[in-house]
Amino acid sequence: MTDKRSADAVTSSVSRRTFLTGVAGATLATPAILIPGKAKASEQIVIANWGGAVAEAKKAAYYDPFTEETGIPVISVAGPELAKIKVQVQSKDVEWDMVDLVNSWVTTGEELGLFEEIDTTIVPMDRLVPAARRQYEMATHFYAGVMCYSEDSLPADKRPLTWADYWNVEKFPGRRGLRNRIGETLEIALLADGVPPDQLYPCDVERAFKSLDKIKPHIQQWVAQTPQTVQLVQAGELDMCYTYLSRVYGARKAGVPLTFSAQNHLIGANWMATVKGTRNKSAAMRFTEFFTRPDRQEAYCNITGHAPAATGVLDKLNADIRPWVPDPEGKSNLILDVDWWSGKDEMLTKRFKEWLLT
Amino acid sequence: MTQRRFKTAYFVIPAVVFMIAVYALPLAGVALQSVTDADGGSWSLAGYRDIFSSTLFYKVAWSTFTISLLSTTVSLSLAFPLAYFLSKQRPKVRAVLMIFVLVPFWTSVLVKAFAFTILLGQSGIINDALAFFGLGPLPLLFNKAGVIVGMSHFLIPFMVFPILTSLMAQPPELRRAASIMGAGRLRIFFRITLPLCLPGIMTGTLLVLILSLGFFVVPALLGGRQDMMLSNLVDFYTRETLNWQAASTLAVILFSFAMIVAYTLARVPGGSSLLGGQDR
Repeated sequence: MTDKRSADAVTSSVSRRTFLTGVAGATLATPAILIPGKAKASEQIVIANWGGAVAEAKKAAYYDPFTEETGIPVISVAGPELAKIKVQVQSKDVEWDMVDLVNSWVTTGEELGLFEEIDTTIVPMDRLVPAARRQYEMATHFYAGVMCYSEDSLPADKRPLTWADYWNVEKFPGRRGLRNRIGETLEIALLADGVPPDQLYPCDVERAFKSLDKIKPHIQQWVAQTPQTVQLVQAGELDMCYTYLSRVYGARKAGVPLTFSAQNHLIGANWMATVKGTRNKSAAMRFTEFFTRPDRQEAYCNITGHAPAATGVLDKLNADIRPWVPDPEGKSNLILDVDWWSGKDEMLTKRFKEWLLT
Repeated sequence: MTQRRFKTAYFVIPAVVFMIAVYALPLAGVALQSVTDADGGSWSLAGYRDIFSSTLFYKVAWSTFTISLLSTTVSLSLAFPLAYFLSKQRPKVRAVLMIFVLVPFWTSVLVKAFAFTILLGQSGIINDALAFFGLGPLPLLFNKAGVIVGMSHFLIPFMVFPILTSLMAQPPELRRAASIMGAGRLRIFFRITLPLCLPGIMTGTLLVLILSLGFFVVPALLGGRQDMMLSNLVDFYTRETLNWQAASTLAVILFSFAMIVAYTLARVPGGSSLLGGQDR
């Protein structure tokens, strides 16, 4: 990869962009000792993201415009993992300058000191909704966990709308799926048991497991992988399943007749942080600032249908994408709280897995 | 004689150095991590104490054991006739048929899991066919049946090759001689072909059993809620909670378990070839 990039920069017509990418490639190939300490030309950002359509959208809305404006190349690599971040920080050999994070990694990463504090003199955090601000991470956008069903197998009056409906197997018969992990499943169980979203945290764990006991015999499959959540409904193995709004959107675009309930969404944040000890900290902070800009947030959400993290953007989104954008302000919707989960993940996962086995 | 033996030892040095660097040292690191506390400072057996006092561990260990044993048995009973058939073919035909044996290696696990859903599901091809004859539906997915089908599909080639090699190494004269002496086909099979093939069967069984102990994607995708493997727990501790002491402890236990299996298999007839012994 690296060799090819540098070779391209030499042989093809050298525009500013290709030249910079070439420099980035050369930098990667150079042993650390040869890189001049402060030279601006060596600045670059390597960001680990989830790949796929979301990464394409980020490239179009954030990465490329940032390079255009600052001349700092952004190289995206697939597959962030907390374990790999820990190894990079511990060995003081930071390969990823920035990382995308899932909810459950945020507090674990903070406890282990894996991230650089956000420099608020560079990044105006007040551009973001409160739920998107943290000391070490910023939320780039929000996703929604929803229940989905196939329009073919369930007529409109047979589709559960709330999680209480989902638990009501007499009124809404059908094969059901939930995820095989406790995060999000715990919250769903409490919503199903009638806990109002604004009073859900701190979670009553005993009540949640009692509620799960009730639905356990009726769950056809505890789904392991996210792609399966829509695939099993599509294949007719499940009549309804917990999944993500963006997955339903993707399936619809591909012509699969899936639909979802507009109520009781679980709204979670997708986080981004700067890895502790990176050589490109100042570039990373400028990049973080770039992510808070309303026009960039708008461009991104118009592609993916995620909810923006910046204030005042939601109403500006295109009319055709608007029905697919989750609403963090929605009355029946729950915003997932990463702080409540801090330090409880391992214990609750053990309990949940044991519960699944019995 | 001893001198010549000693001289050839130089040839294995690269392999030994390689194995020490990429296998023995990391493994020692894992073992060390299992007995040191999270900060890597002091000795601690807390990892083992936690695991041996958790019911989750015993339940998962039991399902790992039964799933591995079942899929090994199914793989063996399907692979032996296949290998026997292949060994009787002309070399050119065999080369073509071998390609089919290798096909399972060419597809990603996730794609295969989706394919099995379409095949084994309640509205899948098999159950549709059964319904046509007024039968079924059979529960083939999201239970042990699904796991065994998915795992055997991947494992059969590992069983076929050692058995095939061992069948082809048998001199055809032996069977011819037995036939001349008046032995029937069944008797030739049970007295000559099968016993001579035991080392191949043992190698295949060991290989498949140890591979299946480490499976976790297939059981998670095709199994039910109770089909959880020890590797799932290792994965959870490594990647989600970063509790590497617990992960290392589980890995050491799984490794010891695999060693015990290997040693036990080496004790049964035909198995001593696994440890380099001579079969009689």
